[in-house]
Amino acid sequence: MLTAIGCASIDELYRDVPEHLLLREAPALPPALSETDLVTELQRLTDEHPSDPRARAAFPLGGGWEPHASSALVHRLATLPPFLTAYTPYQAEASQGILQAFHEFQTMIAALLGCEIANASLYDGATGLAEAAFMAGEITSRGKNRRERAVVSETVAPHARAVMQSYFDAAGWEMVTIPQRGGTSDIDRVRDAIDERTCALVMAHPNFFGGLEDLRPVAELAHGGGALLVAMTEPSVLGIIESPGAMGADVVVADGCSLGLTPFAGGDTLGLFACRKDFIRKVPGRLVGTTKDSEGRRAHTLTLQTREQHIRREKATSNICTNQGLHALRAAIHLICLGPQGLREIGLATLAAAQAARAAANEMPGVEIAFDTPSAQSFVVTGQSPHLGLPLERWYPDLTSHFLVTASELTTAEQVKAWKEAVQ
Amino acid sequence: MSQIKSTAPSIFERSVPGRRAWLPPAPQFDTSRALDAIPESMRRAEPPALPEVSQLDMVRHFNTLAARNMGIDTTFYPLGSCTMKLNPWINETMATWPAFTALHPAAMDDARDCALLRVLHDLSQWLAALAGFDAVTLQPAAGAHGELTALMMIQKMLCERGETERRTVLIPDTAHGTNPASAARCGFRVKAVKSGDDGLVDLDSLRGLVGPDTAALMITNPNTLGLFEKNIEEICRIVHGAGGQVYLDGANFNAVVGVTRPGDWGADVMHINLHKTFSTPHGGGGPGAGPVCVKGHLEPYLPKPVIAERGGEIVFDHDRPHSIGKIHGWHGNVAVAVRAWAYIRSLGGEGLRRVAQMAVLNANYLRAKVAEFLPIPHGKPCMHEFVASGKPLRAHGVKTLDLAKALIDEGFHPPTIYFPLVVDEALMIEPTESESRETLDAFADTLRALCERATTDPDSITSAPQRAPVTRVDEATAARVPCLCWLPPESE
Repeated sequence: MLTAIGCASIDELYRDVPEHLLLREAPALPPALSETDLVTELQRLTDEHPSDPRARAAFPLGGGWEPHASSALVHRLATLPPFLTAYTPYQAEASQGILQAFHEFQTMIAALLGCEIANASLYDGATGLAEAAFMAGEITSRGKNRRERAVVSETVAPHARAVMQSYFDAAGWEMVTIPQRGGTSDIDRVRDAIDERTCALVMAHPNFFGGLEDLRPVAELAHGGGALLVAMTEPSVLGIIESPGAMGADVVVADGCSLGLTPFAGGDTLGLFACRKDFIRKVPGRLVGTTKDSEGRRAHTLTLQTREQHIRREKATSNICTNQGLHALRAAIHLICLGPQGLREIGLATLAAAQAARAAANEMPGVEIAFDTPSAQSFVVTGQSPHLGLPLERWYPDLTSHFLVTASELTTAEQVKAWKEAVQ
Repeated sequence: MSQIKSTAPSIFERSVPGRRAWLPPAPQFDTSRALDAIPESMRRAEPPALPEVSQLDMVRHFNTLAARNMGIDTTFYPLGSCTMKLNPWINETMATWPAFTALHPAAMDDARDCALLRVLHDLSQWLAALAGFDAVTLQPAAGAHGELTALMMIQKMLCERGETERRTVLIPDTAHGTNPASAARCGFRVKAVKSGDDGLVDLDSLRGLVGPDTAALMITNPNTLGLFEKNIEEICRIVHGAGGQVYLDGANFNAVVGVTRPGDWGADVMHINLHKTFSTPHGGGGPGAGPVCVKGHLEPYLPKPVIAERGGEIVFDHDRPHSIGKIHGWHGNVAVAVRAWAYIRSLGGEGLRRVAQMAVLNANYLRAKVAEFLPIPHGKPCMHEFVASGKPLRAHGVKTLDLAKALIDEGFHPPTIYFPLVVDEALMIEPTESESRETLDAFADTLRALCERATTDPDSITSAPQRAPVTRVDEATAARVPCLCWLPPESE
């Protein structure tokens, strides 16, 4: 091959690299391993460095990161080689399979979140929230009257608010956080906080504490102030709980970890993003649309790419390029496995498990249910035992000795019993 | 691909009320009164319109769709700047181990020395060593996310130094679109740096642009023409001389990994695409990962928490007063990081160096073959990729787009086309180290035959593809009348 190139050595191919910058030797890394030895090495590592059993994602830990039941088919079908090893489907004729799957994903996510359209995924719910707020700014600003301020309820997941804060700091936008009151949003303070520079009111339903928040009046508040209502949600209970979109949210975002993925320390999720149809040209990320081929067959393609960075460069609606495509495929397969009936069944099973856990907590001496608002999959307790659940104080300094308890369709009576015993 | 000239039914068209693909676990508690605790107004009024199909119908549906798609596992996929290399299956299987998948993200915040932390720490150390930097964050979920993270760090540092007048980011005209889009998200002004006729950054243009307003230069090296910016040290000196930072876009790191280190060139910060150089699959557009490597002066600004060693144990350090904050809900796409760990562990330092060398050898070999029948405007040797021009075919009414579609008919995924913008009718070709000489020969022979046919029978090229699931897709209509959700036929 070198002869065909007209070179004497591989080194010659690197002749544009200044010689003093070339490494004389290969980098000092651990030696190469065969596939078999690699497995042995990782086995050794996991054996010698076990994780604390309390770091396992299982009842009562959750907050959106609890394990959920899913079919083996999710992994089997999503890892079919033409899906797993494809790039972003820029060449539509070579990518009809994954384009159609993304289109079906968009259809299901829009329906699930109660919106007219959805995109083909973002990195995670937290970055999705930041993108939603920026989009709200673009939509609500009028000429020189820029709206670059968001009002955020403290009941929105704290890790998502933290990411939104970083994005807002970098962009020079203002984020105003309204402290929670009794586990729900403080509507009076929200009302006072919305001003003529506010682009988005950011709420959650169910909120981070599991609480159900009626978004209808706050949608009116937001719209009355010329702002959009952006809502975070938890997809796994939307078979029984009214969707934020149906309650008036203009943009709905969520983590999709519960849709056929694993907790994986938060590193195996995707961002769901759905909104009103009239925002279509301001949406961040990939969009798949339908069209026809030259012979009139239905076909799918990436569309409205003039929103995107590879066309618009610094004027793009977002800088996002690679998203979480394969996870969107997984979520689609999972939602097909469930169907409307399965979604309702896991919702009911989750509710029943959460109510059983609530009853158990009521029987624990020294433990109180912190908030009396109606809730879905999660609730908050106060008490002294570190086994009670996810400690909230790290994110809510005034919620000392408060713990988040989350149930799912996988929560068993044995787990609830063991929890009760561990706490006592 | 099979499924030639056919329509695959939508999963919604396969739906029949009452059918089910799978049953969730039996409820563990009595659900008969579960809804009582939910106020009527909070109950879902209409169930979401999800499809209802049997398991076999669902399995056939996705196998049908898979047969309508190309992947690196099925097809040579020389998509320039995307580094479509082999994705070892063993890495996929390791990323499903319960030791990793079962971990709760918030509980991980306080974890000590568990296997996942060890893996993340190893990977950070290895990336720093390979790229020549002092510290790494694994939080960014993709390359563009890494760019944004790096610019946030630069912005924070400038702000703390009181250099708030530095509001301009310089970006060569050959750069990926994510560079200017990321800069804009941080409120920076973007100025384009011209490339010279040789395809490299024009030093005089750069000198004329830097100044007291310069925050950073974002430079891709090797650049998107597949050329090594041989003046990279001088470029860094010019930017540093004006008080700016040098951001190295590592999208093309595959050409030089183990051979030379961007940190030694003078760059202050760099992102790496684990889904390119480090073999994690693209999955039809992610999940990827875009770790960012920094020199010491930017280390305080890394997103928090930072993976740290404390008394021999690996932990997350949350006490980071200068940090830009969090840029991912948790710790990034750590499932991707596990795969990249396995890849580096499989190859070792010598193996990775060989990866770069073979990628460059393959690219130059293919370049030499393609140069026999298509102009390649920029010099040789190339690095991991090269950019040919389809301009001569225009005389016959054939565009690069047509050539790309004709390649699909021949069983090849097309190269990246019409990028970078500085080459007319561009075909950006990156074969990677994974491909055999026989595959490269077959691709070159096919491309040559198509170019010849473009002169004798141009219609056969402009009407391609004819052996794909669909013929030429009408993208204009898709954008004019956007339809992002499946609609029942009566409402179409």
